[in-house]
Amino acid sequence: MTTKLINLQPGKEAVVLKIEGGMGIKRKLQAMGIYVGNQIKVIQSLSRGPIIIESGNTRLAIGRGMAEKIEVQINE
Amino acid sequence: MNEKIIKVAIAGNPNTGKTTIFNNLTGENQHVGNWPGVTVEKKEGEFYYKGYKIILVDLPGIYGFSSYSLDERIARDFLLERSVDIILNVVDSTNLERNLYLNMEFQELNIPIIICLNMIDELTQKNLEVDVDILSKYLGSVIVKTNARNKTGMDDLKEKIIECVEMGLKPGILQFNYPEYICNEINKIINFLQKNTDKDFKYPLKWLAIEFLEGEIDVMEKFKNENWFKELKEQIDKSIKIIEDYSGQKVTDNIVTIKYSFLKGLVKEAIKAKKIEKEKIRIYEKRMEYSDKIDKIVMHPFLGVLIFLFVMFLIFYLTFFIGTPFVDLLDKFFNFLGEKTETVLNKYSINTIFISFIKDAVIGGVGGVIKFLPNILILFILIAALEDTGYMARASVVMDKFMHLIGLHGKSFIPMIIGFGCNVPAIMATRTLENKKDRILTMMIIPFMSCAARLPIYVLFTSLFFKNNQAIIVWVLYLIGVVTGVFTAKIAKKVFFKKEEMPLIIEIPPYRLPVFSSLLRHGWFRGKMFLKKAGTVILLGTAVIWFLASMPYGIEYASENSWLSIFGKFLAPIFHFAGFGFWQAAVALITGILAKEIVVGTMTTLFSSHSVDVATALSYVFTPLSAFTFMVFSLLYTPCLATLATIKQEAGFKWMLFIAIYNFLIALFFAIIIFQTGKLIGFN
Repeated sequence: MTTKLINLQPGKEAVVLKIEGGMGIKRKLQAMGIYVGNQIKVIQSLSRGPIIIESGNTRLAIGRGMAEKIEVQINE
Repeated sequence: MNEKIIKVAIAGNPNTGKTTIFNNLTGENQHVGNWPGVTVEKKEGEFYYKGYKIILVDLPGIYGFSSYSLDERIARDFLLERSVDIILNVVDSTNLERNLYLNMEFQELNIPIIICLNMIDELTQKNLEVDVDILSKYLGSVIVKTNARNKTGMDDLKEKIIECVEMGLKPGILQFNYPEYICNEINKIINFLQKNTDKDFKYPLKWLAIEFLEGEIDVMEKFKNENWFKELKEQIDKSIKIIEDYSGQKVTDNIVTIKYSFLKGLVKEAIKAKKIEKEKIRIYEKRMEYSDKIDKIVMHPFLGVLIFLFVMFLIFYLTFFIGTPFVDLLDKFFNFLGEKTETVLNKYSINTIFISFIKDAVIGGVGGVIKFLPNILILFILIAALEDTGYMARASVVMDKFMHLIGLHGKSFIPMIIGFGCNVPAIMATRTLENKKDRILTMMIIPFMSCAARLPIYVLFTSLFFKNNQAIIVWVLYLIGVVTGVFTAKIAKKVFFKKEEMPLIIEIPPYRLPVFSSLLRHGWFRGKMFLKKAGTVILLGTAVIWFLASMPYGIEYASENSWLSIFGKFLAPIFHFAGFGFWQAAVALITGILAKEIVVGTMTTLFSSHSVDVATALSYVFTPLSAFTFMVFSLLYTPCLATLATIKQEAGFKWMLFIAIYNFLIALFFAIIIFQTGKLIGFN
């Protein structure tokens, strides 16, 4: 099932499908380990505030606006 | 003797221990932080080894070479200028894939690289082992294992730097190639650049070609005025189309996927589990579990904010609780010194004017500032501890939603906290922010973050007028500063910037115990700067004030007839409605723009002349209410010259002028409102 990163519940794992947004931000995310095809896991996601994800050994906090622009495929 | 110089740039991801390695090697005073981007100034240091002089440059921590933030551009452009012999890439061993991604970017610059596998101990704790030979074979670089926190591997590192030079400084060969359909297009662009232009590119052509293909606008812009640019653009567009048709992906997505799959394979090869020691793994997992549990509370949307406010309060409380006994001691010492000097000098019947200069201006004025050194040291050490433990990044996550209310995001929060120490590095720290709007808005907030230099003012006044609730009053002052900053940013955003928001992306580093010696070193570094300021700017300021207070010749020092008094009386009416419309206050505030510490220095110089001590003299002219409004004004008004100069350098003259004037007016406005309201309610 595909959805937006922002809709993922804590504990869910998914694969990144698409990142919308400008070149700069895309490259920044890539360098931080968020790129198309990579596995991520949601650690914390509340009704407000940034969403915290884990990719490999990295933990990142991503603003809600950005999390709406990342499309993911949920692992079954 | 002619010594051989080697220039080494220390680079790598944030939070990998670059600065610790830099400190270990050079013994330089510099600070290591645990949030992304603490090294915003270019720091250099050097050491000697086996007849070589090795110059180290500590670059800001970066993730990649995008033009996204100023820090990345600074690091990229610095390395591209080819002024270094070796890149020392400091890598977090527990996070090889992402860290080595940056290494691949470095590799395209054709500079020899030494990879420093740092935090190797954390890898061991996870019961993993890294095969250095495999890594070095595929990456083509020299590899050293280190643990910077306990200085393991430093000699090895020095040795490898020398080895690298004696082997002739050859860039390593990466066992990685793009697939043919990308290579072809890279070559086409390189050919074009070689044939159609006679330009001497400072950059490696392959690197340029890849940047073009990925559509890095910042790099393209550099050539947009060349007459061959249009033709080049056509070639690039053609190449992009070919790659996209072939791979079915955008070029950057395609390139990134290829690089990461190479790294994934490599890391899988190189990192192996040691023979299983269940006990060890359990300990590690336990630690992660605790860390997660702590995070659930610390980053909780409601509890997190409470914890943050409590942490800030604790910092101010400790600053006073630990610091004040030492301040009292220093105070006694300087008083004693002043009196002794006076008696001794009197014995030799030296000119009374000279005696007054030594006693009032030098010992009184400068000593009156230096005695606050304990408070300042403690404050800086505590703020550094916040960074080093990893709490700072978490605080920015918690504060993100508040920051959104004013159109900024949580990352702006880090420079704000640094501002509590000193506004100057805080303004430099805005370089980690992605766009100019965010940077300028944050710069407008920072001067309202009450820096350590303003602390002496509060200490002096609260110890006289609010003896029983010192910490609370000071905490309230800091809050007033924050609220004013937020209010300012909110309005500034409406007036100057249209809606344009950058998303928050910040790494949450694992919790780490701060290295105590590194905290002390940082505190002492800032303390030294404070003492230096006391010996220069502050001494000069108090000397000028002493002079103006002693002229015209023959009057009683700092009396009504002095030049200083005439000047002060001219300005004093401005402050009348704020409750401190007397000339000494006006003079103290105006000279305080030189450096905020001078406010106290001036007060001490001006009031110590009377037959009573400063404390008694102040309680004649101030009431608790006007003391409070005076502190509020001191907190908010025009930032010191050093801060203004930094703002000018980072944002331009116009913003500096705006901030200087606006802050003065807003300070006056608030001081008047508080004083008048307070009087109405019946405070005194």
